[in-house]
Amino acid sequence: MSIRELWHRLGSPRWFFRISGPLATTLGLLALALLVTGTVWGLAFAPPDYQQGDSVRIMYVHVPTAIVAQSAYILMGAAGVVLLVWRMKMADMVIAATVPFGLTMTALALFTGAAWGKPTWGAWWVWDARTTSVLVLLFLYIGLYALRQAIPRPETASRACAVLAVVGTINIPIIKYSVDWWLTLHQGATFKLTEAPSMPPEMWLPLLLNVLGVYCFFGANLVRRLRVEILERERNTQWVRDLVAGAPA
Amino acid sequence: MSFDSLQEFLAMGGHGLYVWLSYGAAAIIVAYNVVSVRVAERRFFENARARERRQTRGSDGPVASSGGSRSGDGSRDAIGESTRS
Amino acid sequence: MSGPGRLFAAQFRRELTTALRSLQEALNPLVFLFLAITLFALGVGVDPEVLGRFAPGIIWVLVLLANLLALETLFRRDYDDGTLEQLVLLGRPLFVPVLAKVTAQWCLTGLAMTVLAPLAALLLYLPGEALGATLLTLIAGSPALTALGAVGAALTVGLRGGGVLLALLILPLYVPTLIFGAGAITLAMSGLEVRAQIYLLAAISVLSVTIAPFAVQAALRISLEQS
Repeated sequence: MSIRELWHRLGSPRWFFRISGPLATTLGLLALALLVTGTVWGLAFAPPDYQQGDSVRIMYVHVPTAIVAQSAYILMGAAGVVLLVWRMKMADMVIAATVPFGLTMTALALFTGAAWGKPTWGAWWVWDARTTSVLVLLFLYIGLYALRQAIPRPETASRACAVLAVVGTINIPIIKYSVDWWLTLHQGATFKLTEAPSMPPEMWLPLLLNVLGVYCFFGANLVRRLRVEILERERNTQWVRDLVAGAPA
Repeated sequence: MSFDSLQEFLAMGGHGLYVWLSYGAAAIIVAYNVVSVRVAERRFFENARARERRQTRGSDGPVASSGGSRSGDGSRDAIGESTRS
Repeated sequence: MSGPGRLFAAQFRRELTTALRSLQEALNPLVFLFLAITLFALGVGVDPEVLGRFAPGIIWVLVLLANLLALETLFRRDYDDGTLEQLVLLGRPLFVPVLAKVTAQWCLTGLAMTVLAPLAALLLYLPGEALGATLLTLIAGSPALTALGAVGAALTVGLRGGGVLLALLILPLYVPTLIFGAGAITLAMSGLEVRAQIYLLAAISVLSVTIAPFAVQAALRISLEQS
């Protein structure tokens, strides 16, 4: 199948529903394997940090969630562009399906950041560049969620969210840059949590596994949410009614 | 293995509270994301089946034969779907 | 004058005329600005040292909030009397009319606040050497506030309880402007060069003013189709 053909087929929710069942299962199993390996490795086998001790093990959950939360927002921005330019039906479902995942992952990244900050900096909350950026990201997600809740019609709601997600995505790099600059101005904490170059392979390998695992989990979760979203939107079509009639009770 | 005993593993060199809080929260969030999709899926099928029943019962009323033919349509489509897939 | 230019001028004049007809409504955000400054002085205390140190942050945060308050009415009147629907139904690109609306709104908020900024600086004991930087950051940064805010206003125009929702949608997008605006004034207070921050603010404004009309156009079409 050529890319062009795939692009056109993606416009058909029914086609996507038919092929996506095995995809969700595969991604889910992959995520399970990667996350279990990475987490056990990081928790029990990776060496403690020479400065932070065992609290560095929070990194294996904090860093992947923070990364995936940002990627999810950027994906929504990209889906928003696709929706507004090509009016592809699936794109607005992608936005609708990503908001709950991204919101919970951002909250988790903030919480684990706080739990890591307490033993490292001695305070639950420190205005460091990364945590501040993630906090702003959380507000961006809450805004999307609130806008979606405020508009009754689901199609209208996700198109409105698409506009907001596009504007937000353009802003994310500017926000990150401005927060970095703000930190140098106010001379906050100078001790960075993760310093990639000095990390030995026993530490960055499990981290990499967890990052890949959380991306697979995102993929699996997104596909499954999309499938439910498709059923809801297409519930009055014949193929969905047939599916309901054929499904085991 | 960087720990010698289970106690040491749980204590995390004195940072046990923070490490286990983080991993506990992660477990909750992951479980929420998995379960909420399942619940939504199940709710959709329940609602759809209830809708289907309401519609057949609604047309069942005075003229019994029309309801019968409709349910007949439904079963034919169900067979069609199963042969297609 | 060419077509788009004439359209811009006509729309701009219309916006200013209707705004000035209900002058009180146009002045409300400015009154809010000074009311809130008074509250800050009462809350923080009138020690010139302390108030002066907080002044850059206070000025910029209050300018953000005053802008936000003004945005609620940006599309509301046109929405209520059906003008907005007519505009969308024309099917023509809305870039020019939206740009004219945003420009008129900026004159009534960003520009007006810049003009009144010396008074605000006086009340907050802002050191005199930072006054120039204050004016420059406001004039360079405030167009971004109006342009980004217009997107939020367009998205929430037909919704009940749109005010708080608007704040939730827009304030996170104001973060860079706030940081560079307040940061530049703080730097200027210690006699440092702030040209880079002014340029950055201007760049953010140019980017926002260029992109926002397209987003506003899409948002208006979405908001109006649901009602």
